[in-house]
Amino acid sequence: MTLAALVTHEIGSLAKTPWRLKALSGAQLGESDVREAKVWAERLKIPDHENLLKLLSKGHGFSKEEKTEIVRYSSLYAIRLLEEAGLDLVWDGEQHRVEMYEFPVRQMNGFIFNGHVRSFDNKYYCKASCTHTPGFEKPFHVNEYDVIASLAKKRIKIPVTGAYTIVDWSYDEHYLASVIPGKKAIRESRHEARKRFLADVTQNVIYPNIKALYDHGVRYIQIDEPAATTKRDEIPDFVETTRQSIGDLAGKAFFSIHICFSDYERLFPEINSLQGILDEIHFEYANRDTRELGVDAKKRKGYEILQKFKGTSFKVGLGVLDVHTDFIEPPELVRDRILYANEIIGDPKRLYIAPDCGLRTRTWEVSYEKLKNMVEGRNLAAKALGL
Amino acid sequence: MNILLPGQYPRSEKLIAATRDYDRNRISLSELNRQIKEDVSDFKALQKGLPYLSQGLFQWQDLLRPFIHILNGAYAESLTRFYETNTFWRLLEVEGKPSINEAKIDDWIDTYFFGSSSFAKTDPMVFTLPFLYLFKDHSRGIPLETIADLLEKIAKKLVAFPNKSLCFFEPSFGWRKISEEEKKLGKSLLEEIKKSSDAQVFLTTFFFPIDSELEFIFSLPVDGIGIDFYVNSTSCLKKFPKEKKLLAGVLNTESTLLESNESIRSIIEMLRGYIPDDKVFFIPNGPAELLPRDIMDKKVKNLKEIIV
Repeated sequence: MTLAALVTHEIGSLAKTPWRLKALSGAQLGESDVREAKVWAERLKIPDHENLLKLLSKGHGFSKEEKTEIVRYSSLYAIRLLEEAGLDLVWDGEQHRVEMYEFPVRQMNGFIFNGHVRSFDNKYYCKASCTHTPGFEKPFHVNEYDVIASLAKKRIKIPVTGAYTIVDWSYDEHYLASVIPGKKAIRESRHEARKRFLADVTQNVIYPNIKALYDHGVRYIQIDEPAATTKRDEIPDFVETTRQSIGDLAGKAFFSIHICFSDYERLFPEINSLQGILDEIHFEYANRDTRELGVDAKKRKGYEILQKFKGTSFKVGLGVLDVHTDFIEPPELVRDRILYANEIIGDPKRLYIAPDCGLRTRTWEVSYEKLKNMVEGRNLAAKALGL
Repeated sequence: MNILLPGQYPRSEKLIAATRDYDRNRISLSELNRQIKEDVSDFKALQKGLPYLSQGLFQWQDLLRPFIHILNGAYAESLTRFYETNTFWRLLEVEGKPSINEAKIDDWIDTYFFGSSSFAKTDPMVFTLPFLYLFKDHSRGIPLETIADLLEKIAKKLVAFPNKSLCFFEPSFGWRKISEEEKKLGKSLLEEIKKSSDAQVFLTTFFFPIDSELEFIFSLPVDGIGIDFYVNSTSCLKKFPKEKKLLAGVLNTESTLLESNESIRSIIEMLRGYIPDDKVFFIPNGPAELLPRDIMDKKVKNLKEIIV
C-alpha cells in the first residue's frame, strides 16, 4: 500500500448519533433526532438521506432489517464526516460496534459479561470474564468491512482490538481458577496463567480474524492495543503476541499499532524487534503537550518519546488532537506539532497524522472541527516543508 | 478475623447509569443524589457486622480529585493510568506555587466524607486517604512536603471524630523505589497523625511484590498493614510486627470468580503460622471498584459466610 507524506486518518471511534442509539435501544425518537439527522445529512451531503428521515420518523419499533439500515446510514454519515473533514484514510468510527472491547468479546466464545467498571471519571465499560478457552464461530469484522467498502470514497483502514488488550481488560476465571492467595511462587503461577490466556486469544481468535480481513482484501489493518504497557513485566509477552497476531502476513499488508495513555518508555527496546513486521506505531502525544505554538522541545514536551523512533524503520503515528477536551486545536498548533516531529524523525513520509485516540467522547460538532483543523494543520506543515 | 472494605466501592449499575444521565442533562441533581443515597444504604447493609463501616466514596471520581477544592490553583485534566490497571485518574496539577486552603477543610470533610451518606459522625467508620507516594505519583508540581502537610491536616481532623479509623492507600511500594527522603517524610507524617489520636491507622499496599520494602513498611507507626496476597506469598510475614494487625488482600479484584472455601481456608491456615486470628482483617487485594458492584457484593457475602 503506497501512501504519500503526512497521511491523515482518524484513530478509532466517533460518537454514535442519538438517532442510531435510540433506534437500536428501542427508545422513542423525537423530532429533534430526525432534525439532527437532516442537518448533518445536508452538511455532509449524504445521498438518499430522505429515505433515512422517513424511516426515523417512524419513531420506534424498528424491525431487524430497519435497524440494519439505520446502522448502514450511521456508517455512511461517519465515513462522510471523516471524508468531508479531508482525511486520507477512513473507516466508520465504530458505527457497527458497541465499542472496541465489548464488540469483539461478544463475538467470541469463552466469555461472559458481568457488569460495568470505571475507565475514568464517570465513563465505564462493560467488562467480561473469560470462563472457558476463547474461540469464535466466524470472522467478525468482514461484514463491517463490506459495508464500509461499499460506502467509502477514500481508502479504508480497519481497526482490530489486539489480543493483549482483550486479555488485560477481561477478568480471568478460567486460567487463574486454581491460584490460591498467599501460596509460594504465586507470581510465577499467575504469570503462567496469563501467558496461556494470551496465547489462546492470539492463536484462536485474533490471528484468524486478521487473516480473514487480509483474505478479503483489506490492506491497512490497525491493531488497537491501548493496554500494551499496562503491566511492565509483560512487555515481552505483548511484543510476542503482536508478532504472532500478524504472523505470516507481515509485509503483505500495512500493519499499524495504536497505543495510548501509557508509559511508552516501557516498550523500548523490546518493540524494536517488530521492525519489518509492524509498519506504524501510533501513540497519544497531544494529551501531554502544551497548547502554545512553537517547535522547540519545551513547547512540544508531549512529543519527547519521538526520540526513541530515531534510527528505526517504523512509521510514526502522531497524535496531534487531545480527544478528552473540547478545545479545538488551531491549525497552527497542529502544524507545529508536525514540524517538531519532522525535525526529530527527519522524513515526512514516516509521519502519519491522527488524533490521540478515538473521538467517541466528543460531539460530532467538536470532532468535525478538530479533524478539519487537523487537516488544515497538516496542509500548513506540508507547505512549510515544501511538499 | 473480620472484613474491611476501605476505599471507593463499585457504583451500582443504576448509579453508573444515573451519573451518565446526569452528565448528559437527562436527570436532575436531586435524582442523582437519590441514587447515591440508595447505593450508600445498600453498601451499609452489606457491611452489617463489620467493625468499621466504609462510606464507599461513590461521588469520588478518583482518590485525588476532591483535593482540587482545598489546594489553591489545583486542576485535573490530563489522564494518567492508575498503576497497572485499566482505570485512569486525572493528574492533579497546580498552577503556580501550591498552597492549602485551610479555611475550607472542615466543609470539605463534611462534603466528601459525610456529604450524602447516611452515617452519623459517631458511627464506627473507616476513612480512606491516598498516602504520600500515591499522591505524588499521580500529581504534578506539588512538593512532597506540601502533600504531607495537606494529608496531615486532613488526617488529624478525620481521626479526631469518635470511633473512627483511617486507611491510607499506598500502591507505590514495590512499583518504584521510594527514596530515603520520601521514607523519612512518610514515617514522620504517620507519627504526627498517631500522636494526635488513639484512632486505628492502617496503611495498605496493593498490586506489587513488596519484598524489597518489607523492613520499612513493617517499621511504620501504624496499627495495621495491608498486603496483596495475589502477588505476595505469606512467607513475607516472617518478620511481621506482633503488635500490628494484618489487612490481608484475599478478595481477588482481577477475577469475578468467588473465592472458594478451599482457597480461603488455605490462606487462613497459612496466616495462622504468623498472626493470631483476631489481628486479621480480610480486604480486597486492590481497590474494590475494579470489580462490578454485584460481583463485589457477592464476594463479600461469600467471604463473610466462609469466615463466620
